[in-house]
Amino acid sequence: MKYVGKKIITMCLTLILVSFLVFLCFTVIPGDPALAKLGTEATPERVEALRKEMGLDRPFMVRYGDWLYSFVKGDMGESYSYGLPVKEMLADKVPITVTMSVMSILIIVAVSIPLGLYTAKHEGSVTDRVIYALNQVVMAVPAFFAGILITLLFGIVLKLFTPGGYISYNQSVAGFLGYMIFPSIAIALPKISMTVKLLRSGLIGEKKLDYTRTAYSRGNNTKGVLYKHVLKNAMLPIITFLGMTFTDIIAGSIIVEQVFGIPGMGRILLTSISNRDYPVVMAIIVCLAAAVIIINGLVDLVYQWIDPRIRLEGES
Amino acid sequence: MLEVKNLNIEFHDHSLPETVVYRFNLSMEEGDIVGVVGESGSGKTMSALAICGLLSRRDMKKEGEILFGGKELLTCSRHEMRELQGDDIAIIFQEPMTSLNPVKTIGWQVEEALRIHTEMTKEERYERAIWALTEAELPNPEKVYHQYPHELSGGMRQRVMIAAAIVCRPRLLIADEPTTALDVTIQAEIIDLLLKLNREHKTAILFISHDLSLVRKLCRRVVVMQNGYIVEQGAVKQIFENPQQEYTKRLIASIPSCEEGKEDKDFSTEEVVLSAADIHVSYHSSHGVFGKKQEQKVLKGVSFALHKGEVLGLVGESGCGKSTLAKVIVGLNQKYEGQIGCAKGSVQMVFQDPYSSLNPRKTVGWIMEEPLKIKGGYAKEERRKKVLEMLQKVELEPEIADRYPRQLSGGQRQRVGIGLALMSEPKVLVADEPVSALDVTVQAQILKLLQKLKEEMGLAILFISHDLRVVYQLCDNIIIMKDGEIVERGTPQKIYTAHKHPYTGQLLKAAGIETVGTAAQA
Amino acid sequence: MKRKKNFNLIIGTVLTGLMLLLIVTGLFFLPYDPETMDIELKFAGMSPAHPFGCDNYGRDVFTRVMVGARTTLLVALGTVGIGAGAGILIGAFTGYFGGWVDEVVMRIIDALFAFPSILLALVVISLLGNGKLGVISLLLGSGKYQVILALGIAFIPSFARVVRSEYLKQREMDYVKNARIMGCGHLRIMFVHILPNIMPVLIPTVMIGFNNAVLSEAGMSYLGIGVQPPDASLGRMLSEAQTYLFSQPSYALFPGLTIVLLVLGFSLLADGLEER
Repeated sequence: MKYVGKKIITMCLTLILVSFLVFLCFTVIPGDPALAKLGTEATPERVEALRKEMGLDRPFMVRYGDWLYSFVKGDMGESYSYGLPVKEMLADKVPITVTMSVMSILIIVAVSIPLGLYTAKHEGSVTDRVIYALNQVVMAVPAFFAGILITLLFGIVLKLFTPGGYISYNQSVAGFLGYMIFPSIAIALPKISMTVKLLRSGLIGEKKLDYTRTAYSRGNNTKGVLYKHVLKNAMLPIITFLGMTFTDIIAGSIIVEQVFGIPGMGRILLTSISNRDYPVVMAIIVCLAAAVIIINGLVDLVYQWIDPRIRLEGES
Repeated sequence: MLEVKNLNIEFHDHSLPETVVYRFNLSMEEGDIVGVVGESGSGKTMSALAICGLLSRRDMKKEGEILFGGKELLTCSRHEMRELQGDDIAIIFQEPMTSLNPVKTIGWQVEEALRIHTEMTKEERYERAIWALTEAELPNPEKVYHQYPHELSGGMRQRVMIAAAIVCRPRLLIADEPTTALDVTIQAEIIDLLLKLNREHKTAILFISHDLSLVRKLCRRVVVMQNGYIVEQGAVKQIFENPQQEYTKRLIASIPSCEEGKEDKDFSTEEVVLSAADIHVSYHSSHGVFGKKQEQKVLKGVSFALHKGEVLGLVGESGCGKSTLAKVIVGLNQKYEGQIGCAKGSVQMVFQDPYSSLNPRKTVGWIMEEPLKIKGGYAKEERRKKVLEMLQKVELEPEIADRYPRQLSGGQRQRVGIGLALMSEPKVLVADEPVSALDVTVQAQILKLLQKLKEEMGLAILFISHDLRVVYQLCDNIIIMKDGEIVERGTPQKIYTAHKHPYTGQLLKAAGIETVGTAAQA
Repeated sequence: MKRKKNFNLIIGTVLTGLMLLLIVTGLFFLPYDPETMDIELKFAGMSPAHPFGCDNYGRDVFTRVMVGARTTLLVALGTVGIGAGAGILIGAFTGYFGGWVDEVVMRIIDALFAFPSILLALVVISLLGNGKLGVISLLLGSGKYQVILALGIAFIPSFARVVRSEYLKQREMDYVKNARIMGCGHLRIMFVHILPNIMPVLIPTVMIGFNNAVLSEAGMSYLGIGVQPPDASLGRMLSEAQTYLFSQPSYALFPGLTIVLLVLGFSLLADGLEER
């Protein structure tokens, strides 16, 4: 339990640090937001008035504290370009990105773990080598190019979906999920090959360790050694890896949304960046980073729950 | 029971087949204890692994016969082999730290052979596992049952390995260097445990070791191996008292002996080159920001003086603080209380592991020139010349200067390590277990070299070791440490014949040294 | 393994060699001008004169791929240079000395690690070019140099992490202690004694970093925030080509394949070197 508490504290500290860095970057560096908001209509008096209205004349730390407090409460500020509350703008985008990430992770786990086990078990066989070669190629395909190829193959040639014909989850949940499968595959593909490669080499590496020899010496067969002894040890680094993959999945989703014409967090982030709409950019970045930190924290907790060595370290 | 005839083992891993064992013959009766002795690369471990069927059939070619209870093990099916493994034949390995699965409980691992070979219910298995753990003399077996390997010490882990091995009551127990990684006193306990198992359960033991004194203590018969061949085999008494072959004689001669009397020398008139006065070191460990700070005292007031030309032996088991003391002396640990007296730059160190103490990415010449470069004022040719001179001093060929550490043997590396330490012409050499990673015959050579260099260069040596025999042979004075304190000091003669502290007696007994005089206290 | 030939190394070397040949040739000789538009050649198919066909403006795709690959390589090298250079310095100092500076720097690095590198690069890009950092962007000009700086900064945390953990491991080794006893200075130990020993870890990290840089640059250019016209870029070619995916799928295929082959060659080379 102590470990869990410690983990949560470090997670919170990292979150605060991230929010501080983001706030620092977007309020100090870009210059005067009042000026930016007024644009060409700026006169010194109007800027001054607006600065007061926006609270920009207060000390930096006070502004940060205020921003953080309202952010935690759910008030993420107001968009410069649209004048809408940021929260409202993001609310219907979040489910899209979440669906895509969860689907990708599920695809990665479902495909790569059986493949990794198979290749490690049949190390050196023809199938193993074919999968190895395929892996190398797939790893080199950027997610958006995979998206384009999928559009080409499944959309244009096989006509399994309409390219660019995004179906909102408000219209039809089934249609939404059916459409989201394809971008999720595009995001998952390169990650699948990395996971397979890592799991395979992990399993093979573990198989060479002393404890597997002990396991054989007790009369275990190959299968027994693999499933009862090696698998759990080899899964530990995979869990960490999947946690880190989540970061890449989010990055991938920003780009792949573009390929499939999905109006998710990625699109709104890009338009906000080009419009210099900093409240929106800040909110999205903090949300994404928070998601990454929380997911990785959870992964760490799962890890320590599985690995007895860490469990003890925290408690003793 | 076990009959090995003309066993040959060949590796086919690389392009050229490489034979590691030639014509290995061995026969064992029920309840027998046979020792296989040899240095690294002698093929002793390979033979043992072949007997219990742990060599991969793909990469190896095995010829000959291994008969176990009338069954031919080399040609039987894998399934038949597995039936025997863990049931009739069990094995324990050298490294108790890595031989247990880190993510499974002790109980699970001890019970594994039962799950595979018997139809026992859960409760029966638990009972049997507890029996085995008790039999292996683990304190509090019910608690150990639920623990994980990393929570146990090395000695306890080796006991767990033994418990897991005997849980099915095997007829043959193969012990591959089971005590090498352990402290001397624990070594002795494990040997006693093996003897007890043999006595009580008539378990035959095949004991593989490089340590002749252990073999002498435990075994009835002994097989001596070198470079894959059996050199000699026979009853322990016969081999040790009347060895026939040259190699066996050499092997036995290189056991540091404590029998010849040793004169006590007086160094008190010599200059003191290194002194330590009341050294205290403690580590603070705290858990998290809010955790309670804990203080662990590693050294509790250690004092000694080292005179010119003196070899001071520092003996203790792991965790007694001897390495910490070495770090304090050479300046690697600055957080200490007390006084260290020595001239600046006059102390150099020789490390235990010659594999890691030399920078693997640099040539020997480069490494040995480094002290001169740091000192400055030497031209390139001058540095080279000095390196070559030093190589000659440590009895190495000049070509070694252009090689990388990985291209050298363990003994050669340790010579380079000693040469490197001497490059800056120190007055004091701190040698931290300099020979314990080496084979016995190499060990003897390195000790001889240290002796020679000491006389040539007028060095003082602080010789840290766990091996009382080595220390007896080399040192003029001995300090014995336990839990950060010096418990006994004196000349070898005094310590070996009339020790005062019971711990010294324990160490002496573990090292197999019969104490001539009686202890001053019980 | 019984395989004697190191196929990874062979194929990797061949692919990387071909790509380098394409790029280096492009420095001295281009079959066409990459910017000249010729409306008559709009979507011309593959022909001996235009092996990869022509794009929607009638520009030769093969020429544009040559130029785009050059830009990509330049950006990737610059990115890895900045990321690895700063990463090695930060990682070496924090890992070797430890202490509270290490704690603080590593907290920040961990925090930065929470941002996907492309997101971090987007942030840097959006901050460059206005406000107080405008000076930098004036110096750098826009386009590829901004991308290099943005990606380079985004790559620092991952390099710093790897290097730090290696230094943590190496500083406990006996040869380092030995050097300290001999009186070596810290800087000498860090960069003369230890640095060569982390090469087996550093080189693959740099090679993987290079690949990630290629992929990130392509991704950013695809989004239209990376390399700006007039520099040709493989990523932007793909985003232009996507519009015409129905009518002219081959236009998307060639720039995409070039990225794949560049990355594949390099990762095979990295694997092959490791296998040796």
